Formats: sequence, C-alpha cells, structure tokens
Amino acid sequence: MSTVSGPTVYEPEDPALLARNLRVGTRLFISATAFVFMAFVFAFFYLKAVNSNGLWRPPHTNPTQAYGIATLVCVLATAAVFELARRGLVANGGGWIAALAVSLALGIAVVVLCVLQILNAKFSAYDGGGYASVFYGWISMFTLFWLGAVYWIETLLATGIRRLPVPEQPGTDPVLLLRPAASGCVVFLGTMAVVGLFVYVLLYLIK
Amino acid sequence: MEAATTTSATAITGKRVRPPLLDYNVIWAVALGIGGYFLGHFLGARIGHHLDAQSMSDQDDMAIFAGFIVATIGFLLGLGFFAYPVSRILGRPATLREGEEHGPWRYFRLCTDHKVVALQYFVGVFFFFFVGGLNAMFIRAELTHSNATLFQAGNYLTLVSLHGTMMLMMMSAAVLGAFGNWLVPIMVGARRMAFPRVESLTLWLTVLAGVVLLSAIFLGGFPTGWTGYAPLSDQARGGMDAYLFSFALIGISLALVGLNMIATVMTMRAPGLTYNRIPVFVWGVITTSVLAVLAAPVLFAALYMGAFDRTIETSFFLPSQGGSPYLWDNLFWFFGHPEVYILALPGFGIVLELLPVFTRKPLWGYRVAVAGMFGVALLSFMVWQHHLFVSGINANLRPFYMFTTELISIPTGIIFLIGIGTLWRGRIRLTVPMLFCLAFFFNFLIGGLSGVYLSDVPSDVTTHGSYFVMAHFHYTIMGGLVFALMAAIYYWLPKMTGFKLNDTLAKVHFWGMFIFFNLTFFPLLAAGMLGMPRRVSSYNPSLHTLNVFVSSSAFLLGASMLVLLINLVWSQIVRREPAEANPWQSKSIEFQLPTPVPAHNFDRIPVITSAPYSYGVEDAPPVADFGAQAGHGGPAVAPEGGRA
Repeated sequence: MSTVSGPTVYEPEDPALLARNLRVGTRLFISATAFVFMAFVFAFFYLKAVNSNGLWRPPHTNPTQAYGIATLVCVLATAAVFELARRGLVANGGGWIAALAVSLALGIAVVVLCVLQILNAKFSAYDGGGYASVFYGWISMFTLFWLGAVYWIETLLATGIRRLPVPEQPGTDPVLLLRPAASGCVVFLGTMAVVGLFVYVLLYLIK
Repeated sequence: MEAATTTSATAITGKRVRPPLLDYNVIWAVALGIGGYFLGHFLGARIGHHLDAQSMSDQDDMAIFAGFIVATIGFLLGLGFFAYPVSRILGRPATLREGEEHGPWRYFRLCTDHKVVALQYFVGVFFFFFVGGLNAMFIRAELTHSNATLFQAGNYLTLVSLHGTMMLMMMSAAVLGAFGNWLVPIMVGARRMAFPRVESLTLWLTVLAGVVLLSAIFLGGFPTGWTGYAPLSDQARGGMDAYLFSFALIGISLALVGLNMIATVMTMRAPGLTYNRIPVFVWGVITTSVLAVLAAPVLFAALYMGAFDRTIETSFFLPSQGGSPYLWDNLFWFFGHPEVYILALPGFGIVLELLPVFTRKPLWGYRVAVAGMFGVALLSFMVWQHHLFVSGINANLRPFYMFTTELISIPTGIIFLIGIGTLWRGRIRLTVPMLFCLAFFFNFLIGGLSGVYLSDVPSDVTTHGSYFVMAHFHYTIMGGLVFALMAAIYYWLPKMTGFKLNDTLAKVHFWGMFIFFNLTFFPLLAAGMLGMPRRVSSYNPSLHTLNVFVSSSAFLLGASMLVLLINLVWSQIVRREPAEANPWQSKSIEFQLPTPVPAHNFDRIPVITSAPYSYGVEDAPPVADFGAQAGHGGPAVAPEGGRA
C-alpha cells in the first residue's frame, strides 16, 4: 500500500519538547507501573483475608529477613545516590558520573539479591500457600521492572561518559540533554523505592 | 523551508541504508521468531524438567512459555527493535527516527513514521479481524444443528474462545492503532507521536499477539472463552498458555499506546490548540488511553499470575492450595469492564467527529460530550463486580454495583443525545460514512437498552450466561464500535492511502451489514430469553428454526464483510483512483493537507485559529493558519502545549 511520500526533511527537535515528552511519558509509565503492583497488593490482602483451606501461609513459609533488609537498603540507596547524581548533573557540578556508577552498582546488587531471594527461599512456590504465590510473583515482577531502571541508569552513565554529538540536536551539549532523562529516571526510581518498601513491609514484616 | 533549519532523515539517523533484504525486516523477524520458539521450548523443557523433579509442575507449560518469550525476542530482534537499546547501552545519543527511508520496505519493519505505523496496524488488525470473523462463521455453522455435528464440544469451545479473544484483542487496537496513530498527530498539529519507537513496538506486539493466540489451535485449544476463568484455566491444555501470553502482549501494547497518545496530545499540540479546540475524536482517544494506561497493567499482572500458576505451580487461583479463583475474577474484570469502554469510547469519538461534517452544523454540546466521555471512563472503574453477580459476590454489595452500573448509562446517554442534537435540523448528507453513523445510533440504542436489564440484579441472574448477554454485547461492540469503525474507514482511509474507495461497493456493504447484523443478533436476544446458553454447541431442539434463521443471517453478514474486503483490494490495489484532498468538505485539519499527506505532515507547524466544528457559521475563520511560522526556525510548539 503505497501512501505517503515527499521530501524527508526535518527541523531539529526542540530539546524543551523532548523534555516535556519524557516528563509526561515517565509519569504515565509510573501510573501503569503502580497499577501492576497494586494488583499484587490486592492479591496479598485478598488471599490473606480469604485464607482458602487455611493455606494462606503455612508455618514454614518465612522468608529470610537478611535478604529482605539488604534488598530494601540497596533499593533505597540506589534511588538516593541517583538523586545525588542528578543534582550534580543539573548543577553542572563534578562527581555525578561517579555517583551514577555507584547507583548502577547498587542497582545491579538489587537484581542479584532478588534472584538470590528466589533461589534460596526456604519454601517453594507450590507448597507455600497463597503467601508463597504472592512472594514469588511479586519479587520476580519487581525484578523485571527494576532491570528496566538499571538499564536506564546504565544508558545515562554511558552517554555521560562518551558525550557523543546528537545528530538531531546539532551543536547541543549532549550532557544537557541528559537532564530531563535523569529527572524522569529519578521519579521512576522513587516509585520503585516505594514499591520496594511495600514489598518489605507486606512480605517480610506482616505475619 | 529554510535549508539551515532542516536536515535529511539519513543525516539525522546517521546510518547508510542497507539493501532491504539484508536489513531488519519481517522476513528476518519471522525466521528468528520461529527459531526462537524452538530454542526457548528446548530450554524451557530443561528448566521444566528440573522443576518437575521438585514440584510435579507441567514441564510442557514451562517449555511453551519459554518458547513464546524467546520467540518474542527473536521476532523483535528481526524487526530491528534491539538496535537502538543496544546503541544506548554503548553510550550513543538518543534519536527519534528509524526506518523512514526504506521505501516500500518501511511497511515491513520497525518504522517511526506514524502514518506508516497506522497503515501497518490497519492491515494487521484487519487480517486478524477477518480470522475472528471466520471463527464466527464456523460457530454459526455448528449451531445450524441442535446437537454437536461439525465440531467436538472441546473444539467448539476453542472456536468460541478464539473468536472472543481475537475480536476483543484486535478491536482494542483497531481504532487506536490504525486511526489514532494516523490522525492524532495531524489533528494536534504535530509531525510525529511523542514516542515513535514505542508506537511501532505496540504494532508489532499486537501482530505477534494475534499469531500467538492462533497457535493455541496447535496446542490443544483453550476452553475458557475470552474471560480465562480460573480454575478452568489452570486445568486447560497448552492452548491456555497461548491465551495468557498473547493477552499479556496486548496488555503491554495497549498500555503503551495509551501512554503515547496522552503524551502526544499533552505536549505536542500546535500553538492555538487549546483544550476546548481539540477535536472530539482526539478526546475519545484520550479517554480511551486513560483507561488503557490504568486498566491494562492490572490485566498484565493477572495474566502473569496465571502463567505462574501454570508453570512454577504457584496457587494464586487454586483454592485447594491457598488461592482463590475470585482473585482472577476481580483482577480480570477490573480490566475487563473498562475494556468495554476502551472499545466504545473511540466509537463515540468517531461518530461525533463525523456528524458535524455530514449535517453541516456545529457539534451540539461539545463540552458536555467531552465531559460525558470522561464520566464514562471514570465510572467504568466502579462497575466491574456486576460481572460477578452470580459468582460469589457478597449479596450486600449487589445493590451498589447495580447502582453504579445503571449510573454509567447517564453519561453514555448524554453522548447519545449530543449526537441526536447534532442531527436535529441538520442538512444531512447520506454518504456511506454517515449511513454507518446513523446505524451506530440505532444499534447502540438496542445495545444500551438491553444493557440496562443486565445491570439489574434480578434480570441479570435470570439471563446470565445466556444468548441475551451475547446479543447485548454484540449490539454494543459490533453494532457500536464496528459500525463506527466502518464509518471511519470510508471517511478517512482514502485520505490515509491516497486512493478512493468504490462507493457502490461501499453502499452494498453498508446495507448488507446493517440488515443482516440486526437479523442475526436481534433474534438472539429472544433466544437468550428462551434460555439458550452461551458457549455450548447443543441446545433445545425447539430453538432449531430460530438458530437456522440466525445462522443464515450470519452467513450473509459475513458475505457483506467480504464486500468490504473486495472493495479494499479492488480500489486500493487493483484499480486505484487518486483521492481528492477534501472530498467531504471537512474543516478538520487533516483534510486541509494535500493527499497523500507529506512525510513530514506540515511544512510549518500550523497555528490553530478556531474550533473545528464551525459548519454553517457565517464568517467562520479557517481552522488553522498553515502559512504562519509559529516559533522561529522550526520547533514550533507552544511553550506549554497549546497556549499561543
């Protein structure tokens, strides 16, 4: 179906427009993300309340607190260090690349801890009742979204280090274009930190 | 356009165009997708075997899911979706455009031109739409006998399930994907969508979802209908995995489409396009998008849980192991009911957009119509438990959900009245798009009125699971959305492709579709009242004559859709006639552009100067000033999206 044709010439993209797109897009994505995890919150309370056949949480289904605490600390630290990096980036200060690198390392640590949590759990998915289902489902879903956050941090770091010119923004310092992305990423990380807090409180603290 | 401010796309992307066959394209995608499936299946079987030793999990399910996941990765890899993320990992800068320089091959790969994506959507969605329609023909063929004759009971259930799921999945994408992607950027005066790669990704995920769903036939089918109820879903064969995976792909696609649409409208409106000048079709897309962004993620989470139940033996929906099937019911219908409005709201938008053009008078009650759409969207999140009236809902909650369900008829009724008010004393032109709009009102009225009975607990308990429900939602979805979609096809497709549609064939299509749609589904309201159950191929022999009549009508309805197909092939491929720039004398911005619309949409970003519905208004200013230079040099977008 041949349709549109014509001279393919484009005006340079307005950095302010790109920033607005990213800001709005990030917030919408966070809304969608929140609803994914709200489904797990709902599942937690629903299955706990229903307690089918008394099998919501058999006695042996206790997660390892050390993993839970370590994961939560790393999640919060990733978000906090990233915020420091973002402030350095916005203020044109030094050290933001180092901060991004630390944030990335912490982010990867979260992924490793989540995988270890699942592999070393003292209960399996099939004999742990409703609780085990929520535990396995939620932790794995959290890991998937967190991998997205880690990818985002990595791209910012790589772009900041290489500083290659941007074809669609001739003459613009590529680092300036990182600011809206960093702002978006920090909001996403903040959201994931809240989700991480929920994970810890619901799955590790509530009996 | 000043040379200093423009750059060729090749220069922007910084890439040399490779020979099409060696570049990313759908051929590679299919090859890598198939290869990926077998690789994933092999790996999944190994993992499943390991789990099997511990948990007695069904290793086939693990293998099937792993196959689908690796197939998806391979498919997207072949289309070129991983090139950009990998380049970003390596620190290369962000770019927006990709695959726009590939001539006809851009239709067969990742392309960031919104007009190309829209046409890809059109072809892809309509292919699966016809597959779903073919399933309906098989269903009606079976129902010409009062006992199972052509298909075994299980195969019949799979046919019904495939039909329902395919139609729901594809109709969600039909308006937003094909028409939303093409029209929204142009209607808001932009050159692209906010996130062009995401736009293309949503298309290919939709196509893949259709293929994966069809693969259910080879995996033993699935018996649950489109609702996928547990615990039946836990007990079903491998086809259920295809249902879960394909619906999850659609959920992701739908949420991303919604996100992209909202971001585009919020940030990329041309100067002067204030909120009260936004075309009502765009409002329909926005309200739909809000639902998609918020409801589809819950569906995704529910399907994820279902997949876990079937692979690693969690028990989200298994009461014998601490779960609950009502958890699925709640999560599914939290998405499922808004989904009905994800289908309906774009239909409202299309009809209200077209009525002023063919009545030559302004849209009556524009703001009320927009408020009505938001009212429908908001209330659609508060009614889902009416689907559980007969399946475990606390009896004390029934009145509340009955009330909210009946409440939603108010904004819907308002939108309906806005349409009638626009028709009132208009100079009506009975073109084919207008005929479909008028049929929409007739059908949707029947659909809406039959819905009132289903919102009422006593009558719902009586008719639940019967053909009355089936006829009701076909009147709303097919009689509403699909008729509106047909209006959109005849109205906008010539603009989109640059070639006219045959008017005689279009009229034959309309009359055939309208008459036989009603002759098919109106008697089914009666069949439901007489107790004929859904999803069962056997029925009381006393209903045989009625069913033979309905099936005959359904076959003729199917034949009318073939007329559309013939028209599309004839006028868009075989005997092309260039379309006029503005055949309907529309004031809408897309019809002020040449046909075909240039690749970059506008030489200059237009300045919107008035509302788009000033038909019949003396001395009405033009809708947009296309010669104005808003902003200097090019990036002509109002500072805060629309305020000039």
